[in-house]
Amino acid sequence: MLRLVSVVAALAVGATFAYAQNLNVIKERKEAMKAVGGAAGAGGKMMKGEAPFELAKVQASLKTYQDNAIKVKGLVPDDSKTGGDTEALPSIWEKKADFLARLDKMAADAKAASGVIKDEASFKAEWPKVMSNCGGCHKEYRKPPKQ
Amino acid sequence: MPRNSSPELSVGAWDLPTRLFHWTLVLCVLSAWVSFRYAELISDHLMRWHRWNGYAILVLLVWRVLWGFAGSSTSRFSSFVRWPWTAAGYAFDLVRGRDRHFLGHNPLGTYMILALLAVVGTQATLGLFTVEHNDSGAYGPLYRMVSEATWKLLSRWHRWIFYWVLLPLIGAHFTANLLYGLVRKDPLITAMITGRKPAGDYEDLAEVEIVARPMLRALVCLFLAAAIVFGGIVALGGRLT
Repeated sequence: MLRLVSVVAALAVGATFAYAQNLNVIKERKEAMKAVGGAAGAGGKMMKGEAPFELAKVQASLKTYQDNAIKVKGLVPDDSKTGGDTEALPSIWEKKADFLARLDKMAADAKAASGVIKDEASFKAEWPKVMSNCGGCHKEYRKPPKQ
Repeated sequence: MPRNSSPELSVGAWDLPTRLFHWTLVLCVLSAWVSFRYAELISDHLMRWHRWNGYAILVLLVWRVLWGFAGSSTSRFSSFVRWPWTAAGYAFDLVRGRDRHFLGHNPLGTYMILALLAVVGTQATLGLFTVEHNDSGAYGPLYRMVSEATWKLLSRWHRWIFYWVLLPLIGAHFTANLLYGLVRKDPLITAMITGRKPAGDYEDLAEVEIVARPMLRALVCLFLAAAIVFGGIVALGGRLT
């Protein structure tokens, strides 16, 4: 009896731990993507002429892009497919190599753009190229936006 | 009813401008989807193609409305828009298998055409207020006219209507036309390409009455339609590019 209780307790603890770990990864992933979204919003306002161009802000946004793209690569373990209101689609895990390659490209594009963007003209030419990584990836791997 | 597809026994059904309009609209709707779905693949980061595609659709639709008054007989609203109960009666006859034939749009088809024009028009108009949700800098020319909450809502509808209203309508339209050809031997799709139908006992018109100088008249309508669409956007404070 004692052994049965121990086994059940151990399983329960293990399951809880696994479940909690899963939710933590999803939470971290969502925070990373939210940071990217915030950075995108700052540049987006400048693109649309709703905010004045600020080189420092643009460079900070591009840094956020690079850091979080790399971070998200480590936040897609197999036990993080569902739960925590994730908007990630199962296709991430079906085509994981492509998904990870896209994150690498996003970081590389952001890095390249940060070297080229010096003024408003170069910002307007380069920014959409970096941002197109968002749209391309979201169409494949994220649930349609609720906005 | 005698049916014969040889040229001698066929009659004109659609003028050339109406047919050109139809197939150009088909191509534009297809290319609107492609230019959104594969914007990144074709390096169109600001979705310029998609935007001009939307303008083209609006011009085409306004043209079709003008042509509904200025076009040949089968294209005129006065010849094919009928009361809903007429359409219901026709649908009832269709289900009972009663053979009724129309040279132009049949009473049920009329409502499909009006629905398609209305939905494509709504979709294109919503596009004017849509902002790409990833802050790429792609946006419709009139989004500044409304609040952020409103353009976010309209952007969502722009996506939603395509998949849940327009595509099902297009599917129903295509299937109905295919079935008319296969089951009722009424070659609607061929008629929209060649402009001709087998001579027969049609309820609405025996043969289309083509307006004088149809292409010149259509070009004038096209010019007017472009002026209405582009002039309207600019008048509302929108930037076209």
